[in-house]
Order: sequence, then C-alpha cells, then structure tokens
Amino acid sequence: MLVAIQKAQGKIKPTHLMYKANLSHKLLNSYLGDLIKRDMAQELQVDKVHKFIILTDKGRDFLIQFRKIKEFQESFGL
Amino acid sequence: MTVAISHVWYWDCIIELIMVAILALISFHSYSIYKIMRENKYKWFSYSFFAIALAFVGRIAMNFIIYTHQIRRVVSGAVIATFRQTNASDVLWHYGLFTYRSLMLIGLLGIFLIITDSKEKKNWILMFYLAALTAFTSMQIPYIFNLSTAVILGLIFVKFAQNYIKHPRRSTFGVTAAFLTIFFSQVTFIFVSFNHSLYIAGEIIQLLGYLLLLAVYVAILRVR
Repeated sequence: MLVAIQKAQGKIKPTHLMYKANLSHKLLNSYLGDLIKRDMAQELQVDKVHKFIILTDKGRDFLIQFRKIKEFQESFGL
Repeated sequence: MTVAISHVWYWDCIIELIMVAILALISFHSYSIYKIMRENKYKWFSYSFFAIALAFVGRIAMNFIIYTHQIRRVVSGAVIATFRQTNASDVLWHYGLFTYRSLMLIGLLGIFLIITDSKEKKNWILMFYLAALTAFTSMQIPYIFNLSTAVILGLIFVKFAQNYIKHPRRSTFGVTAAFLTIFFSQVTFIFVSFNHSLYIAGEIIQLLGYLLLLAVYVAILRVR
C-alpha cells in the first residue's frame, strides 16, 4: 500500500489505492486504519466528496528501511 | 626458551583492523534488522560475523606480542628474567592462537548453517564441536586450520553463488565474489610454510575480499 502511494507521487485516491494494492474495500479500510494509526499515512479531505491518502515522512522512512532490509536479505540469501 | 616464528611485517595488524571494522559493521547491521524483524536468523548471523571480528581482534593482540616483545636478549645478568617473560607471552600466544582459530571456525560455520537454513540444534552442536577439535588439532598441524576454513568458505561461496543465480544483481554478485576471494586467501595461507612471502599475498587477497563485502554493505546503506 505504501509503495502504491509513493508511486502516485505521495498522494492517491482511496479507490485507486484499492486497485493498485489489489485489495478488497474491507481489507483496504482495515490496513489503512493501521497505517494511519502508525502515522505512516494520513487522510486529506479536499472537499466534501474528494479524499486523498497521503504518505507521511514516517511512511517514507519506513519504506526506505524496508527496502534496505530486503536488500540485505537478498544479498546474503537470508 | 621458546622462539615464536613471526613474519617481519607489521601491516597485517592494520589490515586486520580494517577487517574487524567491516565485520563489526555487518554484524551490527544484521542485529539492528533482528531488532525490527525479530527473526533469530539475523541475530545468529550477527553473532557469526561478530565472532570472526573477535577472532581478528585476538589475532591483532597476538601479533603485538610477537612484534613488540623482545624474545631473545644476550645479556648474561638478565637471562633468567627474560626466560620468564618469554614463557608467559608464549602461553598467551598459544591461547590467543587457539581462541582466534576457534572463533574464526565458529563464525564461518555459523554463517554456513544460517544461509543453509539449518535449524536442527544437533547440527549446530556437532559443527561447533568439530570447530573446537579442528582448532585444537591445528595447533600441531597449522595448515589444518587454513584447509578447514577454505572448505567452509568454499561451501559458503557455493551457497552464495546459488543465491546469485536466483537473484542476479550487483549485491548478490558482490557477496559471492567477496567470499570467493576470502576462500582464495585461505588457500594461499595453506602454502605459507613452503613460501613465507605467500603470507603477505594471502593477507592482501583476504583484505580485498572484505573490502568487497564493505562495498556491498555501503550499497545496501545507499538504497532509497
């Protein structure tokens, strides 16, 4: 989900996120709630109708850390 | 009076210090990943690299005894005092050598068991017993240690080569090349008793191997 938001220049509509992350509506809301709770993403209400999901700095840092861990893991075959 | 045979070359201490730093960096990085992921393999991987780092620290300390301690003194009044000093440092040197070899073998075996995903406790116990036995035997037949480390490094290289085939990228190639280089250094050390200058070649090849590991580590840190 975080990668999908990052690829959309850090701002994405919930429905687009659902398709990009290949999740059901229920799962999207569940995971999104988790991410917002952990300050990795936040909701931005533009007007009464439009809402965006924003990647926070903490979310960006987490992605960098995650990629480093993955790189270490693959480099050493762990 | 015993005479410790040393190579008249002080650069190995500096080279080994660089290797200690590289091993410590990788060890701490692996441990920091363990703190996030809470998977034991990262912890044991960290401990294995740390064991090898400690092995080199011990070796540096051991080499200082050879390089800085005067073994022979041709002064009639001080002969008895010199003999006692030599005896103490000789014991320290032997314990240091055994510790260095044990830690090196344990560290390398740890890496091998982790990358081959060996979870059986019995395998670990057996391997560490064989490491201690090899270290003890190599006190009498030195090349046994280099032969054993070469075999373990060869197996580690094969595993990393398989990993490179599965994930062909620069970092996996770097790790594979690093361990292949370190393997060649150990093969070089086997023949040191025939030609002492091979010790210098072995140390340089070993350093190159660890520098390759450092390059991989730096590349990992630069991932965005």
